[in-house]
Amino acid sequence: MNTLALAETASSSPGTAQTPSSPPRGCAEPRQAPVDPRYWKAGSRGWYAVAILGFVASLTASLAVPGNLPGLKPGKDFSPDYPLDPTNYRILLAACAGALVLLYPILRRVPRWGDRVFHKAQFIFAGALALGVWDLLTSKLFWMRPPYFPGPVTILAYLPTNAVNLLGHIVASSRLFAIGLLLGIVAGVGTGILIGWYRQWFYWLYPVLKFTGVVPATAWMPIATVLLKPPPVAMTFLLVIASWFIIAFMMCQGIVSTPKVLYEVSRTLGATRSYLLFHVAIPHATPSIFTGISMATSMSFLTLVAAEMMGATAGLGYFINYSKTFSKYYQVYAAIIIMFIVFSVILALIDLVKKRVLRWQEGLVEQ
Amino acid sequence: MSPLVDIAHVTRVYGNGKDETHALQDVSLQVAQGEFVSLIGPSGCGKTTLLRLIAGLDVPQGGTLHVAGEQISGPSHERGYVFQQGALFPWATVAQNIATGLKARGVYRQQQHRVPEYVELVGLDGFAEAYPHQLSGGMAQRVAIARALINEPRVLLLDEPMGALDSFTRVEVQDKLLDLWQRLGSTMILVTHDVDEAIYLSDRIVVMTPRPGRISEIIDVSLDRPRARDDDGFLRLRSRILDKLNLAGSRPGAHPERASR
Repeated sequence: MNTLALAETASSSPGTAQTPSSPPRGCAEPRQAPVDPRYWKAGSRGWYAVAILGFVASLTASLAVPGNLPGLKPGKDFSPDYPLDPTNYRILLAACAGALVLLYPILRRVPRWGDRVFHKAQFIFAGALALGVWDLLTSKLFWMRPPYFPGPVTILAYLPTNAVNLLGHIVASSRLFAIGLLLGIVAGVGTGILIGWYRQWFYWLYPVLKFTGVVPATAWMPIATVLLKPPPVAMTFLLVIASWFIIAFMMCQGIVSTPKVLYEVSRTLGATRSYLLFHVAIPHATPSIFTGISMATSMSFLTLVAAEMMGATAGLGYFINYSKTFSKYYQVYAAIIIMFIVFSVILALIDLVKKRVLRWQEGLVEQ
Repeated sequence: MSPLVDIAHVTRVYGNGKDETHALQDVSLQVAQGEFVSLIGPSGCGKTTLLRLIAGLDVPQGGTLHVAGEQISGPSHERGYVFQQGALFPWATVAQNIATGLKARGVYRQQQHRVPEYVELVGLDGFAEAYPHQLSGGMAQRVAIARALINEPRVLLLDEPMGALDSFTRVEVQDKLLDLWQRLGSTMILVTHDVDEAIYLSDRIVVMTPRPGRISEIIDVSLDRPRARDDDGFLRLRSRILDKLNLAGSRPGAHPERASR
């Protein structure tokens, strides 16, 4: 919330403008707790306790309900190495319940975090129950059967046994993604500046950009894999293709849409043409660049996984494809969960950079 | 002594053929060093066009414009311009906005100590790190004025800078402007459609009429400063200008009750 905008209307003469110390006092209205528009369920603190009970309930179900119902036997109905050890799953549930209990005093003390978590309490409860139900339906009752529907028990029992191998795939994917996206951003921003600023570049390159941008990057895959060796080079090329055009397009849009009056005022202040580009046009385009980067990121995720599935020897996409050929679907689910975590972290990092660079927009734009 | 701003027989035509509009036709005006001149008239009378020509943001089809003896060939930091909407850079803080002129001319490193002075000059102490969207309209206009003044221009061109402000804020910015004009001894040319504003601030008022845009009369304001808006001389001048602009209304004589606006 910015207090500055509120301040000025009150200050009638220049020089006395200052931030207001507090809202006017002595209002006859009874004080009402304001509802936070973002964390509007923050009041549902009781649900926090229910969420803890949710994890406890799922844990109890895991301990109490007997699994391996007659009629289904490991080694006969599914492969003998199918992981069914519930220890990790139970540790996770206990850890979640414990963490929530331990966090409670901290959340009470720091409203900034508390509001956020209490707002999510109902959802956390639902998540805890969902885990329990999922476990019951798969590893206990076997209504949903292996190999296509592994339970949380199976996935969690598997993950640590293959951690080193998986880490290798995560690193391979992340490295490829980072190189591809960074090259794409550099190429995209560069091209965007050229076509946004110089009309010759716009005339020749913009139609090409528009045409090529319509075609999904994966369509180039057969050509790329044949012409570019080794495979990582081909995949980097695809990632660059996937991000380049959209970033260039948004960059160009951002530059072209700069209000004329900003150029005019800069020129009356003594600005040269290069000053207009670097200190007026490009800053004006920054929000657009980040929109472009966000879009390019999701396009790149898509391209990365598709490319790895088809022509790689490492990476999470490759691992999914590899697991499928051995009917180890629990590995597919594990890879999907890992992808969710890794991609979320990448998105969060980009968002962090964006918030830092665009902090002048705070309070100006709904984010 | 030759005038600081010398405009001679300037003509500016927009469009061609049937759509031709004479924004300015044979306009001549001279402004002396340190003078405060207002251009007033209904929309379409070419007052903003004239200001843009002086700034070098536009070129005339005929006539000449000189500032300090030099022909105007394009925008320059010697002719500061304040736009109606302020035109602040939304990504830059108040201090950064005010520093623009220094940075654009490559003298920021040597002269950055002047930025806080100009923040203070327009009464924005404590708001140096605020962003434009956190400011009110009046504050934003004061930033725009400081941003133009830091270059110490020979003439400050003001294009309805108070036009978008409410009447309370308008008076506040007018007083600030007057204060700066007197303290810095700068030359100012103000485009406005507010008769009171023109009388309150100016040494001379240039009344313009549209289609084609031309100067119909130049009125000397010989009232003592500081001026009171309800002074007899003020009100007489007011009704004279309103008459000139055909804005006086249907009833004969002046309308003192409207002066309280």
